[in-house]
Amino acid sequence: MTNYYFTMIGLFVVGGGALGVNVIKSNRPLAISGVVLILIGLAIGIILPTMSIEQNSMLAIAYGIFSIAAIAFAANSLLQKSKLKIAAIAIAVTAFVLLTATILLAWFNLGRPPFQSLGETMIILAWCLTLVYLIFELVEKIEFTGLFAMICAILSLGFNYVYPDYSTRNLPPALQSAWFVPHVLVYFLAYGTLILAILSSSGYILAHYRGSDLDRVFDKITYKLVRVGFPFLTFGLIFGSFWGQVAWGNYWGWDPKENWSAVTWVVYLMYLHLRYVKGWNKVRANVFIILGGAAVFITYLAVSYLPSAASSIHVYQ
Amino acid sequence: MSQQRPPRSLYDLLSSKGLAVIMFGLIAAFTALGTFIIQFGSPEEYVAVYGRLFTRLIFATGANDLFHTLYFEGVLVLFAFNLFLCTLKRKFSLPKLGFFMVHLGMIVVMIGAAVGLVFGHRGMVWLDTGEQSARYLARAQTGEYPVELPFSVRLDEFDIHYKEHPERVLYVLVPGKTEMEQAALFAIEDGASEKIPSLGLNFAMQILPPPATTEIEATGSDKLMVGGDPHSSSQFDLDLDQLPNPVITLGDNMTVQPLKYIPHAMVDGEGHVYKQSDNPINPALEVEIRFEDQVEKRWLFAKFPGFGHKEVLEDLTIAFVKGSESSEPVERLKLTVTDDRGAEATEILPLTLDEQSSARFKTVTVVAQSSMAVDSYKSLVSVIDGDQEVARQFIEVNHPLVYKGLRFYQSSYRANSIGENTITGIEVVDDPGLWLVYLGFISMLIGVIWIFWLEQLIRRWARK
Repeated sequence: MTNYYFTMIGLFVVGGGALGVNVIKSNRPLAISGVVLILIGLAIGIILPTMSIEQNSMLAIAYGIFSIAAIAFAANSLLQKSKLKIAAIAIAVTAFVLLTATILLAWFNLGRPPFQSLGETMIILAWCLTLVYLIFELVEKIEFTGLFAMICAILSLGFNYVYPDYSTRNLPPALQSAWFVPHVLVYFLAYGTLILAILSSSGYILAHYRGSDLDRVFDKITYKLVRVGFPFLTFGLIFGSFWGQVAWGNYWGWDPKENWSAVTWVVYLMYLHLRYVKGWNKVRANVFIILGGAAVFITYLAVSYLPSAASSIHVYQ
Repeated sequence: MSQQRPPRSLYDLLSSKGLAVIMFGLIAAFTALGTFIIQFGSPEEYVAVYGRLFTRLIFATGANDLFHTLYFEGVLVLFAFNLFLCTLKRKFSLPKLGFFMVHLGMIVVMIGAAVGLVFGHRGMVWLDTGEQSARYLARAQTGEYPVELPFSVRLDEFDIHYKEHPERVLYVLVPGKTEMEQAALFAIEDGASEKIPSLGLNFAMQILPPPATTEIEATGSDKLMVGGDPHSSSQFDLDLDQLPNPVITLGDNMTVQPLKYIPHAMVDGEGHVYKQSDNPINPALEVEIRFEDQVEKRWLFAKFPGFGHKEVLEDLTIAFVKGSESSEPVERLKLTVTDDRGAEATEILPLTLDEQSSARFKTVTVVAQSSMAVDSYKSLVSVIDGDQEVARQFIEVNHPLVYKGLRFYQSSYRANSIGENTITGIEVVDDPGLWLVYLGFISMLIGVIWIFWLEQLIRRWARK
């Protein structure tokens, strides 16, 4: 099953790359192969929940609707029909509503926020990512691909099927705090936003090297996303410090996860400052968005594998 | 004396955005490095993880405590200086309020942290119920030192609340993988079924009611085991209420006689065993062994089978097995594991509280664990200033006590000499820079909201 999951990721990466190149320089065969690869990936994605029994059926339905939304977005990227896009967005909204209901139901059943284990936060990540995408699509009126957002949500939800995760019913004393929900929520809103920024900054870099006019559009989208994501990242960092002070008497403990969240914050800070440094404000600044994405990945997932992780009070077990 | 302005070029360099970005890069690089290098580890740990050469390098550069090295602190000071000059360079205007709040906020946070580091103390005070103290042991890089409090604190009560039901989990371990990399961790629930696709295994769980009391008695009695290999060793039932027990004959010319039993044994500096309490914390049995004309008295400890003096009969392995403390029969887990081909295997594991039981299947080992997880713990603490009791409050995780600028946090607890959890561990924090850190953080929060959200909204609104 792990193999299926990673094959799915591989197909999404290659297919997405082909579609990305197509955006910069129109090439129909390349676009078709990209969409076909993504559709194969989605087909694998759809059968993932069926391979695991005893799973949350509501979550499985939400997962299925996300996959259908992704298929609609993939088809739209090929056919460019406005009705198809509206349909895709409508399906994405349905999936989002269902995922919201799933989270609220889990909250009610567990008697605590379902933000504790890695599997639970993966669901929150998918929710935040979709929320940010929908707001940008509907409110900000930015022409932005929904396919990437849907694929990220699918990968995030699919993780639960590959690595079933047990979570204790009650929260340990340190997590029984008023800071728990705001701290986790703002972090995942930041992560959701900044993951979307990886796509737009990659688009910028591709467009820039291909001499396409789209680079300005991508740059604007990236900056808009960072303008939303960076404040959330700052709130997460500072809320975490307030919480640490109340719980352990320490607003900063040099814990590996804390350190990597600081590194992530600093990387985005570098992007924000490089925008005003001549010679660094174009491709180089956008590279920092991708580096920031890597820092988010390390902070969220990879920090558990660092030599210093054994002493951490933050990592997911 | 006229104040000399720094050279134009140096001033420009020190107040440049370019330097700020370089400083960010250095801070990020050092911070990340500090997660790849174990902090405050033992030399053995470093050698095991990084090898001898890198260990030498780590200790030579102080990277084992990287965040307190002079070079890291130097980078932070230079960064603060750069931040200060960058802020100074800008002329204040209302639209730039956010910029000033964020940049000054960061400087204030760093000043607050420095004040706390230089003038603050942080340490622990352990108090048993009813105990009062006016000092705590503060921690420093060089070791611990006592700090007097301007008042005293007394522990009136210590409460631990356990969760309503025991937490039962099943670890599925794959040979060759550490516990951290375990394949899965499930909640044990009656009728539940869990599948691990990566192993191609399905685990069906059924909770069986406690067995009849007679079965328990057979396995729960106290025993004396003699011999080497547990499979070939002989077992003898003990009667700890009727000591000394009758002499046990082992072969032709060897006898063993159980003499004394101590439920909570302690060993003094001279090796004498004495009774600490009546709670079965460290059960010990004294036996007299006779072999031909040699006689030896030996203490056997149930929890430490290898411990004890072996003066005469060094080859003789003899162990004291204390029967199960709980006379209550426990529920059991009936676990059926089915693989992809449909092959089935079933094992039954007892779900004794605070104990682990394991079973081996063809490709995995499972461990069932049942424990009463701590839900919360709190200390009722009184503050006595002069002759007066000035405050009385429960301290628990996330709810510290604050008095005269000192903060008391519920940090830990431990058992007293009779095994009852009555001793509380309270973290004492004296941080005179904390208010500056808070002030800086709040300024940064408002500043960030101003720069990234409000400024834009105000502009839009002004345009309309």
